[in-house]
Amino acid sequence: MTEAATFSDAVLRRNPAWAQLLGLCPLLAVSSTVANALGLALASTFVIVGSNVSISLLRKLIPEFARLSCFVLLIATFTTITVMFLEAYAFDIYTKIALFVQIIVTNCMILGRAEEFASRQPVGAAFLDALGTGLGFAIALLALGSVREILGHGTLFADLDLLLGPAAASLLIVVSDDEPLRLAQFAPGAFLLAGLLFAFVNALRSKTPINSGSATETD
Amino acid sequence: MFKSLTALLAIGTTCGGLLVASNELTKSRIEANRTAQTRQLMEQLLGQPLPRDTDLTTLQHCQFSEHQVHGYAGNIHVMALWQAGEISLRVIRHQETPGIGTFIDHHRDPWLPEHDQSTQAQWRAIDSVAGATITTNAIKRAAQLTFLGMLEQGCD
Repeated sequence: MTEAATFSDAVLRRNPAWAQLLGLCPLLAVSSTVANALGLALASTFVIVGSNVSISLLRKLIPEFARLSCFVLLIATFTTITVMFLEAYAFDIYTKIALFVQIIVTNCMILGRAEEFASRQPVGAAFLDALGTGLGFAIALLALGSVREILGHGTLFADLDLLLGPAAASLLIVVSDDEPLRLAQFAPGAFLLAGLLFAFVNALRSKTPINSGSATETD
Repeated sequence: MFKSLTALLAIGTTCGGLLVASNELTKSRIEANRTAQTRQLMEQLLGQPLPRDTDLTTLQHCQFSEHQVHGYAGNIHVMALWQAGEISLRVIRHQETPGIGTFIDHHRDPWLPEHDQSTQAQWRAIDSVAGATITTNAIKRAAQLTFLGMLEQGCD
């Protein structure tokens, strides 16, 4: 597989959120605002890239019988490092999403890519695959985060300055003074909106020429 | 066998080393962040800003006290204010489900009283919250510890 194909495959065809439905717990819990979603997206991407690259580097060293423990140890190390740096440098975001950053370690999306891809592929490919998976997860998080923030809070990009520095405070867009759909703030609203989002993406995907092409082949 | 053991040892040591290094790098900033947050909560409890050079430890006598109680998923750190026989509590740090106390703290989430028109007086009589038994008990224990501590110091 070419490098570009590895990357786009990880972002689109095997997207952790809408294609594999992995990592749904943090996806639904943290996507209440764009700032929270971005915080978790960055943290998850860092963990998946760091752990998958190191697993790929160590793949010849890791003994077969203890591979899962080694993967979990490496993923846990990168998660803990992320937690420490978030608490040190983005404390306000950390207090909001701390629990969900800590449970990145149990995110099947990361262990899945480690077992299925990184432990069998060279570093370059593992890096692209991890970056693609992280980006795919980030796209889903940010899409759901924007919709939920507009509907639930009537704003967009609020509190981004907690993550990106004081300059980002000017990004705030007030869509409505009211809360257009309060349900969107809560987990049930997140569940419904995520379902609609996935349905929309899958409807788009089923119309792509690749699929219709393969359909004619089977005919 | 020996090769696998060496490999596992190497991986374990690398992970440990990375953790120690990042702990060293972030320790002082995390400590500063936590102190700043504690200070902010104390000011919120008092309802007025503390003088800039206040040493937080000197406020311990008959005013503030800090407690650690066992929650559902680790320790809950609580700051308590004792003021004329009344205890106010703020959670500093915890690992419980996010949003600890939002259910009963109507300043943070007015959703429930807006819907059933309940009053603060009615909410004061609540003993525990279903689905949060251990956390509720831990917070009550913190209040109890505060009370016992103040009693011991002979405060009124």
